[in-house]
Amino acid sequence: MRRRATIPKAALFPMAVMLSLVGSGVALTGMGSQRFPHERHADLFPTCLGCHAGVPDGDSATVYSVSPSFCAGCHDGSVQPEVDWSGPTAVASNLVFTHTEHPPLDCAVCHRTPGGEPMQIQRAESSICLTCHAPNAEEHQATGVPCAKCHTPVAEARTLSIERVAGFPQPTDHGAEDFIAVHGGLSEVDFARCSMCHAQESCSRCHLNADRVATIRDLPTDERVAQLAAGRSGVWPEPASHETADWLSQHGGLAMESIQSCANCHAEESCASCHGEATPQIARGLSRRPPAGPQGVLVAAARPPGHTPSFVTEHATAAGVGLPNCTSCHLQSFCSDCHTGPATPRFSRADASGFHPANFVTRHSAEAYASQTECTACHSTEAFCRDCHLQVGIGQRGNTTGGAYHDAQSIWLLAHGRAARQGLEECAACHDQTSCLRCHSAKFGLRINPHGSAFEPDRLQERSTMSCAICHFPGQLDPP
Amino acid sequence: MNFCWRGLVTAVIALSLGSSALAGQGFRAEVGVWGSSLELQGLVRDSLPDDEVAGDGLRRRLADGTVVTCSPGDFCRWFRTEGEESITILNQDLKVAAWAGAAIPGLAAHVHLRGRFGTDDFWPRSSQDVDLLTGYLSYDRAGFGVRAGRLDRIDGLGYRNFDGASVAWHGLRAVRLEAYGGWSLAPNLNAPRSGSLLSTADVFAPDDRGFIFGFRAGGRVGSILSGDVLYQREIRTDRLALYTERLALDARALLGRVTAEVAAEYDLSFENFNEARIRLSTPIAGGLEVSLQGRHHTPFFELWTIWGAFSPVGFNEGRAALLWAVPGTRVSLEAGGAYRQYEETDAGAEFVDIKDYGWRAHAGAHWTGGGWYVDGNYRAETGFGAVRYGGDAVIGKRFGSGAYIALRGSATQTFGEFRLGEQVVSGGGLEGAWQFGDLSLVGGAALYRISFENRPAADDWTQARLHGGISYRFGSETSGRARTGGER
Repeated sequence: MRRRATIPKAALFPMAVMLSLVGSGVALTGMGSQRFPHERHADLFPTCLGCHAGVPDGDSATVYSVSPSFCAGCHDGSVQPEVDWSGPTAVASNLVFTHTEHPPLDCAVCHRTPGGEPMQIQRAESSICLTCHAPNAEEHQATGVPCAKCHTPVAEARTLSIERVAGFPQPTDHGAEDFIAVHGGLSEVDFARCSMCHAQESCSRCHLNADRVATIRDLPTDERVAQLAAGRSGVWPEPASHETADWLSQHGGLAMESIQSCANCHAEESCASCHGEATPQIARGLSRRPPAGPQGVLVAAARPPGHTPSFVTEHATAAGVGLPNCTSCHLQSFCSDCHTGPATPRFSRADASGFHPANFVTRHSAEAYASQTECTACHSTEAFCRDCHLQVGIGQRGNTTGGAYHDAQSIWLLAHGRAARQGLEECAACHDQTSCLRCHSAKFGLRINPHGSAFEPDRLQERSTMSCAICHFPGQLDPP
Repeated sequence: MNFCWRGLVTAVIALSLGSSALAGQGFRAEVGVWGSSLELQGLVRDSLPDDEVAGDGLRRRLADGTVVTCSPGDFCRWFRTEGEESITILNQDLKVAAWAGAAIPGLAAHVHLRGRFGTDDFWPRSSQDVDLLTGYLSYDRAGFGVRAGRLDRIDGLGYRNFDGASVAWHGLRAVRLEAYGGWSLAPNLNAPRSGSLLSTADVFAPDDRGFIFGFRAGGRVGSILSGDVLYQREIRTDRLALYTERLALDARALLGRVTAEVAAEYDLSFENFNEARIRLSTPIAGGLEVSLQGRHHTPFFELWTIWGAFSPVGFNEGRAALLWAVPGTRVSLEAGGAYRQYEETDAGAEFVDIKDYGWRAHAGAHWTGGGWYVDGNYRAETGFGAVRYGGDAVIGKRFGSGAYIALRGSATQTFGEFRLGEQVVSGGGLEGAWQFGDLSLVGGAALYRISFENRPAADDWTQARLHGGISYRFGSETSGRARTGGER
């Protein structure tokens, strides 16, 4: 029975690469095939040139001077088992290395396995190239390694498949946290290095201003890179400068200095998100956002400089006069979210705690008395404040408790008048009107006059006789 | 269930009229549910017969030190705490905006509906209640705009809503005129004054709904000056009495780097300024911004109450604040203070010790970096009625837009309300939010310890709080711009 020798598939690729490195002298084309078991044939073929006669002369026809039929001389099924080795085939490559143009070296320098026997061979490792071409380089793809010595830019390696391009290894420094921040500068220092793997489409995936950046413009376009970039979202990490506390007030000046540094990530529409129709002229240095493709950083309306932390309680005037401006960023329901009583949390903000500080319900009395903000701007005194106070037991309808609650004053009755004049809103948050009428009605009880010296009864009577009638009989009122 | 049928009908009619034109044109909606559970401590009045309390006089002490107020021959009374009441609030919001697009440019419909279906009615309006906050059609063209339905307004008199219509003209870009009118609603209740919400809260609540009408004129001088004047009157529908009659003035000017704001609210019924305010703010240098404010405030009361006739007095206040965004760092600092002096009350006994002034101060710091943020602030607030000292701190981490997790803590000491003793609230909790596309989640939990000093009749207790919510936005956009619930 004839034995058929097989070659492990795992060995095919290294073999192909090795053969491609051995090279045919054609820039973009190497040779690949099933791996040839050099070691087993070491005694039969003791020299390299026996099979690779064309290497020194760059004769592509004789780089592989043996053929499968030559093998069959021995592997005929009787002397040796038949083999299905088919010999080398062309493999696309982005290598420009040729044996003829390279200073002559002994084959073993590049192809013998370190410490191995003469015919224990391997593909020529890139580290061997670096020994002479970049002796100080830490790795094959490091900055400063003269890539073009051995490789062509990807756009010129037309025979490479899209899969091969997609499989290009990523240099170590590309994974660094700050790489995106520094990659522009690196591209100016070592543009050739970028061009080995990248085309214009690699950059325009993120750079809205790709057509205005010289280093990007100098890159060729490439259909394969375009396909790989299509559909991938851009990456726009926030620069450290944007996180500084004074960024909002500083960004205009920096934009004036170098609008193109903004243009990498921002479109003109980014400025309009906050500035609206008043977008500064300098913004015209930015690209317009394209209808499709990279959109750049979508700027949510940033908090304007005037919106200081206290603005939440001091925005009344701005809102009163500035509604057209307010609506540049806010929907009208933004106002009603807070101003319609117990607020719902703001789902769209990174702080859902709402208007009041946490647990305000247990510590709101001082703010209420101080009237720093008007409780009544959002809450009904009668149906919110008083209702809750009644439920809790602080509030009281009708008859008073003789000052039992306000126990800090020895005789609350003597103190309450001044307190009430200074904080009547707070009184009304617990007491309804009948609480006062026991003493202050002109119809019954103690009939104590609650009106101050500046009170003008006629003016009130003109506007609301009905409120006068709560305490006065009609006969007690003068005709208005 | 409390529901304003007239408002709903108005909105439904408005939306129905619009819906035929709006079909297929575009809408944006947000539905959200928000719940909160917390505990509050109840307070009850207790008493003993006068002769069972040692001592004499109107003010005595029980054996445990509790101060009681006695009526000779009657009872001695005091307030003590009584257990904790659990509250569950559950609100549901539906916001819809629909627009006709190119079919009828400028036509849109808006609805904001809020359901309140808590499991307990301890918290105000936490059970079985549906509010129509807004529901109107709007038609905006270059030069003018018309709205009809349940409208809300934001102007110099604050925020309020009503059922009716408004017409705005801004044919000249620098000038804006607006008139509005309709049936008025009670402030912050989304219901008429004659509705059950007020009538159950006050025996003298109005029995008649009321009309509202107002006129507003505003103008701009470039980006230098803008101003707004408003007159508004609310009157019973039977015209027997006014509810309110007010004027408002707001102006804002940019004078170089200085922003000047002037605001006034004037009550024509009592002829006094409820609010008169001037504020100047300006960046100085090196990230420092200062603002100074002078303010007069007198409380405003509607004419259906007797409170205005009790001659409440106002106060005058000066306020200063500094904000420093430390250049080149991620730190901002703020500090400020205010002092207010009340007007003469001409009431109460001379010897009574009630302050006629108040002051407050605050300081805070904020740091952010790499998505982390740290906030801390301290506030002191003293006045004639209550005093508070305390601080809050938070450390959090943001994960992109709309997502964060934060740890909060606070400690507050309060005393006042003319009561003996003090209360200390300290505790904190964890909260967070997350966004999955148009779905947003928020939630948090916290524990607080509430303890009392020199208040023997009050028991220390621990308050547990939980809150959570979910909202979902759907529909289309009016343009390529992304709009969220409140901010774009």
